[in-house]
Amino acid sequence: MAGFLLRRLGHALLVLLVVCTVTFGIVHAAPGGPSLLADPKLSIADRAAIEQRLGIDRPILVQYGRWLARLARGDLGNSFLYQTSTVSTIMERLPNTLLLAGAALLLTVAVAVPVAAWCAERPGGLLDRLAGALALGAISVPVFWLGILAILAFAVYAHILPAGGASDVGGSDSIVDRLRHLVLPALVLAAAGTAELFRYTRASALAQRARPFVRTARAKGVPERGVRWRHAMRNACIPVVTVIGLQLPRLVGGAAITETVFSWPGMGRLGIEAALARDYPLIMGITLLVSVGVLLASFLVDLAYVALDPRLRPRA
Amino acid sequence: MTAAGAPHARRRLQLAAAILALLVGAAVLGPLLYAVDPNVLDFARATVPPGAGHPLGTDENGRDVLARLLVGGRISLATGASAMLLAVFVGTLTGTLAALGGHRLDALLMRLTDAALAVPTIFIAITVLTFFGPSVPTLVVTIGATSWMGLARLVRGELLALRQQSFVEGAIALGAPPIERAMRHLLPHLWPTILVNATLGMGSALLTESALSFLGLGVQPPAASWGNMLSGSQTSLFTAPWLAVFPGAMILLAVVSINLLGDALRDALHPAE
Repeated sequence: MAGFLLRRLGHALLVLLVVCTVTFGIVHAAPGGPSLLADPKLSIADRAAIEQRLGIDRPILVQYGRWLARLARGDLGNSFLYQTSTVSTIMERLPNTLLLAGAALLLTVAVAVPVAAWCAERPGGLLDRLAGALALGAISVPVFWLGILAILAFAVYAHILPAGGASDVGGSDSIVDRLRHLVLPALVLAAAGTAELFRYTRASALAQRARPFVRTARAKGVPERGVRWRHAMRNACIPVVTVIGLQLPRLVGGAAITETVFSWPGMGRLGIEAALARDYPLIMGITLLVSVGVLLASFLVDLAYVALDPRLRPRA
Repeated sequence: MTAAGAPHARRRLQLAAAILALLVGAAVLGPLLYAVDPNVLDFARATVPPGAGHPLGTDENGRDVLARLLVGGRISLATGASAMLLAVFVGTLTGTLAALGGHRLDALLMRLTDAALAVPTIFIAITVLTFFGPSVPTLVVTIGATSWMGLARLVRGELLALRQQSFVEGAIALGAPPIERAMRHLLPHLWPTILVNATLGMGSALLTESALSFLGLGVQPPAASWGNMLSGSQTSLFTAPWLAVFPGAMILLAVVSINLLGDALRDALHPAE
């Protein structure tokens, strides 16, 4: 087991190095510089001074070496845009993104798994067909458009919920206020993931229910609830865990569009701002953080496999 | 799918194909039949609600929304299709090389694939598009280059399994050279997988195009695309909600029918998951 974990760790570090190298290459080798240099009034000497201050006047390999060396000390440099340390700029926004992504994930699992379990028992039924159609719509809709429609319906016409932000400006910052701001972005962010998880879980549960051990459990007199959850769904959950694992990083990284539509002060919107302003250290920092999240999620998926299915345990 | 579900699946397939044909037809023939200039500015008639003269209203610059929807459909569908073709090409090539190119190439390509899957592609896409300047070719390359990984893994997995089959050993015994073996004996078995993946990939390419255009990084005005017609719509939600509703509905309709088609193809062809 320890060997398996160590191998996975080494593998993850290697992937991370590839991510850093490729991202650094794309970001730095592309023509044009940071938006700070875009001002046409800058003299050549001014430009040179800024380039020297930002350290982007050196050869790209030297820059990469320095970046890696600083990374090893936990320093991601200073954001060009905010003039503050990249790490603290990201950390300021990260809790908002984690709140939004966490709420969306909770919604996804709480809705998709029970509905899929129900639908798998009555395939072709009214609820099954309705859920299937809704799921098809949810994976096909542009997330930003869903957000705009939600704002149109609930903020512009019905005036029930706020149109954006994480709390009222100058408001009390109470829990109720925060929750009211969370509802729409969380629902919009959760929509596609819920649909995807529903489809996989339903297919998986349908396949499990046809297997002999489910019939055996019924023949033994296990109550239907027990058959559904202990026998069919536990086995159906193995591919489900993979889908959830694949969604974790997309929730954190992919929240960018949702955050933009709802003016949510999170890391995703920060990443879009950084990319638009060509803020190298901030782009690199956010990319690195999200990639670590992805690799961590896939590692957790492996551990969950082992917990759910003894057959997958690596032999010592 | 069970036999009982078969007629149902066929009906869905027909419905999806009909909607898609209608959309493609509207994009190709629509601008010829509906002879209103999509780019003519008329500030005196800006943000006119849908009604006589302008069936779907006008935008904040007084341009006819229906004319822009029809022309925009051409650009959106063509961009989505080109990006999907590029992703299919890169994915199939990577998966084939990884499976048949020996252990070291396999390890290298699969670590690259893992890395590409771990990167938040939206930021990379935005970075690349701001650096190289947004244009349709850059958009196609960016979307294609960030959506080949799933297919690469599927192709590699299937080829590794196929290689063990006796007809491949037979081809080796008969002295077929590696390229011929791959092209004639292996790749034809991958058609179902590639076809289903390409169909569903077209849907996600359309969604990515619309998201990037919404951020102002896709198709540039005055040219219209379904995505960039939405980019200004959020600021005029209160005054001109129809600007937000129609282009999004077109994207939704197109992607729903493409996904329906993909699901139906998957059920009909049974490719490996």
